[in-house]
Amino acid sequence: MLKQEELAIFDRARHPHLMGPLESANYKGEATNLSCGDELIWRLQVEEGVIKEARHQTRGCAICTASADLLAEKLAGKTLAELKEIDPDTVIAQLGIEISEGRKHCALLGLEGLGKLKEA
Amino acid sequence: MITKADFPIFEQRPDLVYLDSAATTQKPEAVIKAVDWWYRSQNAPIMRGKYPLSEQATAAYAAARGVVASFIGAIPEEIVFVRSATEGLNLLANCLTNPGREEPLLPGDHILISEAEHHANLVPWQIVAKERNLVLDYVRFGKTGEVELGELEAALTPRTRIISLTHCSNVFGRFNQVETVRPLLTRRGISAEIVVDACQSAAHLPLEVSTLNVDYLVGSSHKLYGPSGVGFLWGRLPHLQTLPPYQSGGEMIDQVTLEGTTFAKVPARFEAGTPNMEGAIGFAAALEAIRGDDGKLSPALTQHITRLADLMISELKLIDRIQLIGEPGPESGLISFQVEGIHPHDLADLLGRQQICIRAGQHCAQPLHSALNLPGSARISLGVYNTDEDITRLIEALKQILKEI
Repeated sequence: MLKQEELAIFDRARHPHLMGPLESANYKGEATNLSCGDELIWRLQVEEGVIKEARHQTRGCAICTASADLLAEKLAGKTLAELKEIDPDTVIAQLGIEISEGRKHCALLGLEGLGKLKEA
Repeated sequence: MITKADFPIFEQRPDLVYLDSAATTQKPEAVIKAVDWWYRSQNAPIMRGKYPLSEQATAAYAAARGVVASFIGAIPEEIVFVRSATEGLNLLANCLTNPGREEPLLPGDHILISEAEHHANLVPWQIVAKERNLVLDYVRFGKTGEVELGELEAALTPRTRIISLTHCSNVFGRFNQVETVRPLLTRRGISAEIVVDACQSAAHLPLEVSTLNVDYLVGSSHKLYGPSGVGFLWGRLPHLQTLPPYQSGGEMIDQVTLEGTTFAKVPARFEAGTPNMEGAIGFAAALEAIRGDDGKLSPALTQHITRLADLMISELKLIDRIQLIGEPGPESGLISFQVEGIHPHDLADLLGRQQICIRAGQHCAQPLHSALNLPGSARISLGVYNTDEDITRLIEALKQILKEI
């Protein structure tokens, strides 16, 4: 039987809040894990170094998708410089479930993508 | 026939449902004992020492080569011990295209493989084709997952010199009719060399090199219930004799001077350095545990896996949200599938928590998954130790997961 927190992750992955295109995006970042097939693209609208809006487009497992979506909620108002200070353990902890060593790269793909942002 | 009771890991982990034998197999007591015996009472350098312990070790290693040869209907001189099938395929890619071989390939000559190959039978060919200005083409697979022979024929050119195919896809679980390639080449007047990757077939169907009618075959011990770190490359003796060495150093030489070196006869020519002696001994013990009276894979083992795979396929097909990938041949015991709404990784994670081990990902076949437009797949692969209870546990677990998600 799955725990409530685990069901919440699957629900979040199926109904993400911030997945989709962003016409006003002027920054883009991509991350892939080809060994497992997970792919993620960030699109950010940034003004004077501050993130106004963020969207992700994720094709991957529930952990990858939910993690990116939870991360996306925290980006508005952050500066690009502050993205570098995001702690991977915090990203994993926000999922609210235990993540095995083998799944950590799924949970952190979103963070990896933020580390590869370029002006679009 | 060897059974689950012969595998100590299932005593250590009674709840384990191991369905990832295509990745690596569990090891029977006989293999563990053989390696233990080697270390406790027989370990010595082979082919070098002039004392009884070394001579006995050399004889044991030679006997192991003989067991491998018998397993596929070959002679010992045609068996090269390699580290794995991956190393065997790298050896072949490098040596078959080496400008120093007899009748070397020329720039513009053609190599044909399939889109469905494991990376071990794809990447080495890509690398040598680029380095040596050769043309590399890929044959499509059909809906079943089998390489389409019509497409293979259409892809042949007068300059086709090498064809390298998997005998059984590690994703589709489908056998390719590799024995039909030679007649096809003969009909077309093309004398290409045929390489076959037997990693996923050797533990499932008895192999006979004269029937397969190919020139080279590779397999890995750890997929045949033996230790990892050792595998075999079989090559027709006249072909092997035309090839230059792959790795060089000790053992593979005849005479070494400061001016140059001459090389040993095959198979020693391809076995540089101290080999994985204990691995070869364990490998032979594994083959002895799974062979029949004729020295080849026991038909009882094939029947056992085929029966379980048939059962598994029937049960999976009854579950609405499950879609099999291709049409697996039950003898392979290998079934890949998709679950609607659940990523393979998540599925494997959830099953893993119940000690049910399946594989999820791209199975070292990225081009295949790209051609299918799939991010990955879930894969079940059976071994001799699997039981009806394993199937029941998996199916019930799948149904429960699908109820909840």
